[in-house]
Amino acid sequence: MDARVVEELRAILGHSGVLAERARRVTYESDGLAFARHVPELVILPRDTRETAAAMRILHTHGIPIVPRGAGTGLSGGATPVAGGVVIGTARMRDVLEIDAENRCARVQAGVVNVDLTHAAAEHGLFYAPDPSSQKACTIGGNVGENSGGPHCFRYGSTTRHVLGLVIVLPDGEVLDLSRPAVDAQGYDLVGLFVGSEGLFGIATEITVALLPVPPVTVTMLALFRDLDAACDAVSDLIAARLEPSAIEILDELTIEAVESSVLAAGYPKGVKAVMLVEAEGSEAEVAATVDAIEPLLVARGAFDVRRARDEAERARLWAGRKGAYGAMGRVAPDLYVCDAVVPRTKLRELVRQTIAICHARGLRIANVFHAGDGNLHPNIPYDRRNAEELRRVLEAGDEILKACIAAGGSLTGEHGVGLEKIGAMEWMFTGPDLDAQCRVRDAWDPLRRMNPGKLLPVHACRETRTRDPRGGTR
Amino acid sequence: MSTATVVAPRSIEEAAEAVRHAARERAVVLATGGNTKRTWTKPAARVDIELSTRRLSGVVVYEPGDGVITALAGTPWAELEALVARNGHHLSPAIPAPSNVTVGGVVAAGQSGMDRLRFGPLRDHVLGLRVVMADGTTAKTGGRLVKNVTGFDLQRLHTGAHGTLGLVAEVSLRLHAAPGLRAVGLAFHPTRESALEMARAVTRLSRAAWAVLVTDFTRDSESKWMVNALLGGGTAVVESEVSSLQAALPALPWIVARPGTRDEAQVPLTWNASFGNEYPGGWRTVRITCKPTALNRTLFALDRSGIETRIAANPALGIVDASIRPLDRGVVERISADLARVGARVHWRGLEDELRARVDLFGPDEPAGIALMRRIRANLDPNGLWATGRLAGGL
Repeated sequence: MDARVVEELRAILGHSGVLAERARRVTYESDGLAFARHVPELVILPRDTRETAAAMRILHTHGIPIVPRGAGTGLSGGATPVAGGVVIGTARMRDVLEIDAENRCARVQAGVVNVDLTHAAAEHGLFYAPDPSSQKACTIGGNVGENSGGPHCFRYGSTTRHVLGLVIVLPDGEVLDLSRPAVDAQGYDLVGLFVGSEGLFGIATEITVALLPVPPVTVTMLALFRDLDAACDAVSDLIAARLEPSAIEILDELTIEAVESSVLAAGYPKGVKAVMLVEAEGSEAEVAATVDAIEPLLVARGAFDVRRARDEAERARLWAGRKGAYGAMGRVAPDLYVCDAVVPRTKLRELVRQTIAICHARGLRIANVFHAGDGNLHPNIPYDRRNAEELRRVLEAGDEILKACIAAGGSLTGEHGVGLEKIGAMEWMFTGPDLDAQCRVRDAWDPLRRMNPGKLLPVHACRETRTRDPRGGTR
Repeated sequence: MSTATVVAPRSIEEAAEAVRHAARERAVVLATGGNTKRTWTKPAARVDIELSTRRLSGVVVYEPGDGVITALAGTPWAELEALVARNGHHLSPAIPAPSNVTVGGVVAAGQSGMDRLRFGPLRDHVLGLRVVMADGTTAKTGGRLVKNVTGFDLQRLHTGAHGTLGLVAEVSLRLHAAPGLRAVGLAFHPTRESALEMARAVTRLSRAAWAVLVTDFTRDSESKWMVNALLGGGTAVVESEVSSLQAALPALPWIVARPGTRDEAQVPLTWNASFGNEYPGGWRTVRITCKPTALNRTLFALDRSGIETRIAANPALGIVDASIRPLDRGVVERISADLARVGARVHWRGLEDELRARVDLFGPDEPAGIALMRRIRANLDPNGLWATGRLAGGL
């Protein structure tokens, strides 16, 4: 990186806001997509909107690519700086600026950790609904970039439903204040458009989110199945019956074993083929009615044991097992390829079966742990990245799984984003005109295409010369 | 408008062909549905072709087991409502839907319903779209899935854009569970303050409320202000909520649509009347939005205008539909300015063409991000095919 640029940035951000030494930059070489790595030329850590805007003006002047980054927990390589340039991290933007309990909303800086917002809201009897498994580390800004989900999005919807307003710094450093005071946008819905744009439009520095009242009663149920098909069918039945619990999750046998052998042991019985976690929230009557309607459907599909968490501690343990499932898989293999795809909820059994067949045909193991209620599959493939041949098979299986899901009317990603990982797969789902519309919208935000280059949109779809397969150089 | 040629394609392909033809002819195109929300935007400066979705009608896919429906833009909203109701689904938004209200029109206008308190705004239910673009291609965005983050969320961009970025040709919507039991609470108050206080209490205590409205449609001064609360949900949930609300707010009596009772028929009538109450006869409406806590301030600003109004306020959401007559340019501008001063936003609906052309329907201020919005429009419609000058900021 040009020393003059570094000096200009230091003048604004101070010494600790600019990481130029390689040893410190290496931390930012990848996110949760472990096999894709690229050390950024520079990392900067602004403290607020003003600093972000000033820094981005400088980067604009010098024509330097920008990669926004929250906590780096993303799983699609969205924060990996494949095209070089500067990573802008939000790690020093950690203030909850305002909790407006009366209007049930909060204004936070982008770097606020997801779970910290819910803790801050709790004293007002409120909570922030989107709860990705990484919620103890991931940031609200990162959640906005990816339109993140989580188990409870079954009832409450993904991040986009909860974002009321944004302050965005555009690629040239212009600040766009869309902290709207009212319920609907005037003109076009720029806030809704920005959420899930994976860092290609600009950087959100302040976010206004909706908060919900903490439900008076929560019941967590654990249903045990002797086969995974039956668990999937039970979920399809719950959806067809239009029941509205707040979360419906499934963990398969390999996941259960991994969790139970780890410090996160949740009390999932070993030897069962699938466990389903179902949570019902609301008034006492609402929860009782939901639970009473769900139990017979589960039993009819072969659940041989349906338990309810007896107390808050047991409930927390059941969820810790689910949310720690990825970490627990570390016992099975050094690396885990976390797939993310969506299928219609009438086709869960069929597609879960296919994911298993695809992996077994390539001599790979598979652990399915997923947001079943939303049809959001997470087939996880354990592997060792030092084994190049195995990694090749893993990626091949991942591609086959995506193709199977798309053929069934599904989509490439439900919550992890396209990022670097699935950029090549965009054309499996979208036609030239579909992608052209997306490119045109991107160019309105970032005409020079300096924001997070090499992500989400295949460059040749944007009528550019494609220089190389963006995944090719990093695998 | 009167000189525009009306073109009514029967398929998305025909619509795309019509757009390509218009592009070749350098014609300006206005995308229309049932024309029921024509007055929500300013009249276009020029329209050569009205591209109507009237014949672009029909359900494409409805999978009751998945809770998702896909329909062509010209499908009557009421037809979809009735179809999904047969499978125990509720189609949100709950809106007054005479037969010429179309699904494409609802989406293009970004019309949210009275059930917004329970189900959220329309944009949350739009899962995917097929849009005919200005170059005559057809672009898909989103899908038929309840959860999906593949690509940019262009469905949110088109929702509420009134066809200024493309013709919404096909819509996929998320469905909800129809209520097993419904109940209506009605109470009359001599003052607006006491009515609002009761409405806020209902919202605070209830989890099954679909709408809690305060209206002043009656003229009797002792009972001028009406609180109208609608509950829906599972039988046990509604029964238990009605009894707890009765205990907490004895002045709010409830009618519950229990099967086999006279109220079983009464509740739907009251319920539908409430949801259909957006336009009291012949009055012109301004939709006012503000922070819920700024509602009193907003209503005082309206009072100060000295104009006779009738209002339907949704205090939990900060939405007020105020109906006003008689009306001229001076009144519209004065009310818009007074409300802008207290931070509220306006959207005038139902004004006559002549007045609509002369006033700003969206208040005196340009929307934040207008320059970016103009760039988006210019990039998606570089030759100005779609009729312009209709939305806030002249979009």
